[in-house]
Amino acid sequence: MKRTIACLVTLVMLVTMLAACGGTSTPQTQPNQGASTPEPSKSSEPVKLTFWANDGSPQWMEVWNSAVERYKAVNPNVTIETFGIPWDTAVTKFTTAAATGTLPDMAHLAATLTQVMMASDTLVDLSPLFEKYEGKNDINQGHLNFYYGMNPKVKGLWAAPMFGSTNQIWYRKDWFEKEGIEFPRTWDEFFEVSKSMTKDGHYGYSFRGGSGNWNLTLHFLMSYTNTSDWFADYEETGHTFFAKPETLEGLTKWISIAADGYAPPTCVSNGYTEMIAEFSSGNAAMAWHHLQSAPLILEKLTPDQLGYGPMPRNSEGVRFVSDEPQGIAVFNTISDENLEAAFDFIKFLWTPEEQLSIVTIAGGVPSNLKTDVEGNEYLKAALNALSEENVKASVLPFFLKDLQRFNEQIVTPDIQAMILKELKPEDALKRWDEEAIKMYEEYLSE
Amino acid sequence: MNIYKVLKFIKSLAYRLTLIAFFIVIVFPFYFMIIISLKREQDINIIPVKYYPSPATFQNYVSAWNDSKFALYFVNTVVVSLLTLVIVSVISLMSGYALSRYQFKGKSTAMMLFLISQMVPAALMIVPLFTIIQKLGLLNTLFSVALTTSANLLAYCSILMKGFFSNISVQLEQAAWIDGCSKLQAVIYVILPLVMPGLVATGAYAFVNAWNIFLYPLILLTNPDKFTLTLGLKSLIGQYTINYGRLSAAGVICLIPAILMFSYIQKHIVVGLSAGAIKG
Repeated sequence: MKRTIACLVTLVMLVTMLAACGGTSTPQTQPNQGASTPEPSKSSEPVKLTFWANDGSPQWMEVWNSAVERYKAVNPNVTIETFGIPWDTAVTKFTTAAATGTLPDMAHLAATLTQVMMASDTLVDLSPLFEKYEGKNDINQGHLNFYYGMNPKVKGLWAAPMFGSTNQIWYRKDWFEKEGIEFPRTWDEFFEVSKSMTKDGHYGYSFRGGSGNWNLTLHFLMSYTNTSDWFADYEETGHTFFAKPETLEGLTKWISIAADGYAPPTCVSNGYTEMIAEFSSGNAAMAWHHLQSAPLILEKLTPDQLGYGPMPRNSEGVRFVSDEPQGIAVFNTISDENLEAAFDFIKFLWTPEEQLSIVTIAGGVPSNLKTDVEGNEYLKAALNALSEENVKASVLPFFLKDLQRFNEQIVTPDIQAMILKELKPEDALKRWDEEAIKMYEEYLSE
Repeated sequence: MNIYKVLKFIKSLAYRLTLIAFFIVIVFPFYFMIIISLKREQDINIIPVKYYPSPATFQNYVSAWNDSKFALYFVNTVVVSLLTLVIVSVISLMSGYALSRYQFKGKSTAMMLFLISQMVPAALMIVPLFTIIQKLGLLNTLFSVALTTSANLLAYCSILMKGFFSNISVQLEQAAWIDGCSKLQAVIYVILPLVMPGLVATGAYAFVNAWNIFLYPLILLTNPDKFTLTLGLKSLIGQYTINYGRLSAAGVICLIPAILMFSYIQKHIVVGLSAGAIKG
C-alpha cells in the first residue's frame, strides 16, 4: 500500500513539474488608461516586437505595460512582449544576450548602459528614421545631442530620448524659512549653507559617499571649474582638467562637507537610497539628485516641508546641469520590418500624453518639449532652470570605453578614502588625471 | 557556595550571554524584515524607528502574493528546486558510489576536475551554458534552470556522496552478495538505507541552492511568467524606487519553505555531514 501511495505521489509530482515547465506564457495586461490616438501602423501584417526594460521594478513595468496596452489598442496587428530586468543585473543580461545573439528588438536603457551597448556595436543608429519624423523639432535638442555626442568618431542617434534625469537641489523649505536662510544660488553659498544648516541634530547636506558617489562629484567638479570638456587642455598641457588648481580647490571644499561633519556620519557608505532617506527622513537639510528621486521624496515630505531649486552657479555665473537622458534603443539584430514598427512605437512614446505618463511615474524632464507639465511644480521648476541664461549641459565623456571602470573602481574608493582622510585630494586628482589620460589616449589610438 | 561553584556559574553565564548576543545578531535582521513587512508604507521610514508594527497590516503580503505575482514565482521555484533535488540526488548517488567503490582509469583526474570545476566562477560559464541551452531548445523553460543548477552542483555533491559511501563498510555489501543479492539489490536494500542521512544532506544542499539560485534564471529566462522567487525579489528593487514593505513581505515568503525544510531535516543534515566528514 505504502509503495502504491509513494508511486502515485511521485507520478503526481512529475506531472505537475512537467506541466509547469511546459506552460505557455500569458503576458500581464494593464487596463487601458485612455490617452492619445496616433495614426495606426501603415501595415496590417502581424508584427511581434520584443522589448526589454533595464529597470524591471513594478513602477517601470507599469509605465511600459500600460503604454504597450494603449499602443496595441490603436495598432492591433502589433504585439510587444515586455520583459523587465532587475536593474543592477542589467549589464550582465544585456552583454550575455549580445554575446549569444539573443538581444531583443528594443530596450529602455539608462545612459551608462547605452554607452556599454554602443561600445559593443549592437545599437542601430536611429538618425535616418528620426530625420523623417515629422515631430523631430519638438524633441529636446540637449537630449538628442547627448546621444549624438556619445561617440564623437561615429555620430549617431544611439537611442531615442524619452526623458532627462535633470539634476536639482532638494531642500527643507521649512527649516530654511525658520532659520531665515536663502536657498544657495552659487557653489560658495552652497558650502556656507551646508555649514550653517548643520545644527539641531541634523546636517547641512546629505552627501553621497557610497555607491555612485562618482556621479555627483565629477559633475560638481565640472561645474565648479567651468569645464565642459575634460580634455580641452590635453593637446597643450598633456593633462586633463583634473590637473587644474581650481579642480583641487573644488574637490577639497566638496570633500570637506563630508569629512568635516556637515553631512551625516554614515555618508561614507551612503548610496542613492540612503542619501535620499537621510534627507527625506529629516536628517539633512539638502540633497542633490535628479528628478527620478522625486516619487520617493514626495512620498515622505509635504509641500510645506519640501523645496527644490536649480543647481548652483559657479564663479563665472554659469550653471551646469546634468540632464542625462534615458531612452529607447533599438538593437541591430532587428529585422527591417520590425525596425519600422519599433520606431513607430517610439513615435507613440514621444506623444505628449505618453511623455506625461512616463515622467509622472518615473520623474524626469520629458524629451518632447510640447508635453504639458502644468500642475507639476518640480518639473516646471526644472524646465525653467534649464531655459535660463548661462546654462550648460554637464556631460561625462561617455565615449571613453573604460569610463565605468574608472568611475567605480578608481573614483569611488578614492572619494571614500578622502572622506575618511586616508587620501589627500591632490593625490586622488593626480591618479584620476593619469587614468583619464590613459583612457583618452586609448580612445584616440582606435 | 564555594569558589568552584561561583566560577562554574560565571562560566555558564558567560556562555549563555555570548550565545544570546549571537542569537540577537543573527535573528534581529529577520525580525526587522518581518516587522517592516507588517508596516504600512508610510510608517516604514519614520524616524525614530519603531521596532513593532503599529498598526500592523498584511497588505504587503497580499500585494506581493497577488500583484507582484509571487504566487506564480513560488510555484516556479518549487518546481526548479524539486527538479534539481531529484536530478542531483539520483546522479550524485550513482557517481558517489562509483567513486567510492570502484577503481578505474582516470579516477583521480576526474576527482581533480570535479574540484577544479568548483573554483571557476559561475559568471564565466554564462555564455557557454546559454549557448548549450539555446541549442537544446530549452531557453525560457524551468527545466533549463534546473539542469544548469544541477550541473553546477553535481561535482560537489558527488564528492560529498563519495564520502558517505566510503564511511560504509564494503563487507556489508559483500555479505549481501553472499546472501544472494545482485550488486544493484545490495545497494538498494543494504547500502541505501545506511547512506540515507547523507543523501538527505546532499538533497537538502541541492534544494536550498536551487531555491536561492539567481544567475541562471536571470540569464536563461526572458518570460516574466517563468520567474523564480529570487528574480522576483530582485525585480522589486528599482534603480530609484523600492517598496520596502512589499520587498520584506516577499522576502518572508521566500524564507518560509527553506526554514521549514531545514527544521524538518536538520538532524539528517548534521548526522549526514558528520558521517561523511572523516573519510574521503
